[in-house]
Amino acid sequence: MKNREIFSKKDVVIVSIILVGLIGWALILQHSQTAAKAVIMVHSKVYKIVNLNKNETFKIKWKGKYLMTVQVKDGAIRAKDSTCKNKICVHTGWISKDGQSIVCVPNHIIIYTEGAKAASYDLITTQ
Amino acid sequence: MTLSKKISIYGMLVAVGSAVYVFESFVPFPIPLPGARWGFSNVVIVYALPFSNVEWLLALVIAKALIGSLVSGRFFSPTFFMGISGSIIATLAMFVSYKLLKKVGMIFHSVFGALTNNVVQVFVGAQIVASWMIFGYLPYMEILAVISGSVNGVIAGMLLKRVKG
Repeated sequence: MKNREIFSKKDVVIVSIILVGLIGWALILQHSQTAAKAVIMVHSKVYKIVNLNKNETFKIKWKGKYLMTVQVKDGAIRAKDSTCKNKICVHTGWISKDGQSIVCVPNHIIIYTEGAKAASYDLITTQ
Repeated sequence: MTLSKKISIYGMLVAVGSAVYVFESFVPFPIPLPGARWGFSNVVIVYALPFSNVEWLLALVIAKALIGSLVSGRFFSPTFFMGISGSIIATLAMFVSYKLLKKVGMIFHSVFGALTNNVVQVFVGAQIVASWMIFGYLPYMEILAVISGSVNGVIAGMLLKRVKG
């Protein structure tokens, strides 16, 4: 049984390059714009589109079965409670930036934010 | 290696892998991202790389996923399918990289497997929830994969050095 090195200089260099590249990728993808609405999809269908500026708490039900409680507050949305086992969706916490998502694979639910807020001033007046 | 020796070695690897799969959740991950795990049970697959052919590796990874999910109660759940497809394709990827790239060490193969595993998991997850938005998680998951993959590669490499088959 021939044994190979655990790691050499080469490995350290390759793995460091991969790590730096990934951190760069994550930084580029940093979401910055505030989202205006959130789309909730359950079992591949659009279940509800919510306006993030309206505070509300509601339950997601699918074929009469309770799946998740969603809370909207001050422009952010979260999964407050879910029937799934690992609760990854609940631990994701609040999301409020454009292009973020909360995923619950066991319940087939994805909540993603969409649409940056329009600028609060009129572009024409600044010309 | 005789067949009976092979069966006993792989049987033991399946048992150790399944047990670690259940108990690894007791070791907290340093970065608190939802769903982040160490994946210590995959050490047995990296460990088996140098002396396995592809059939035995696949048998090992499938048996480990089936028994581990039966014990932890996620058998045939959507997350089970994410996990098993990720493990199978990551195992094939590590097998190929181990056979082709002779000059890099165990850490590289382990990290490569972890990266592949997460790409496949996110892809299968996207099919389940029917949205590509889930790919926003991928860069963060891959950073964690580099960390856990390196640690698992070191563990497997040290085992290979110290355990005499």
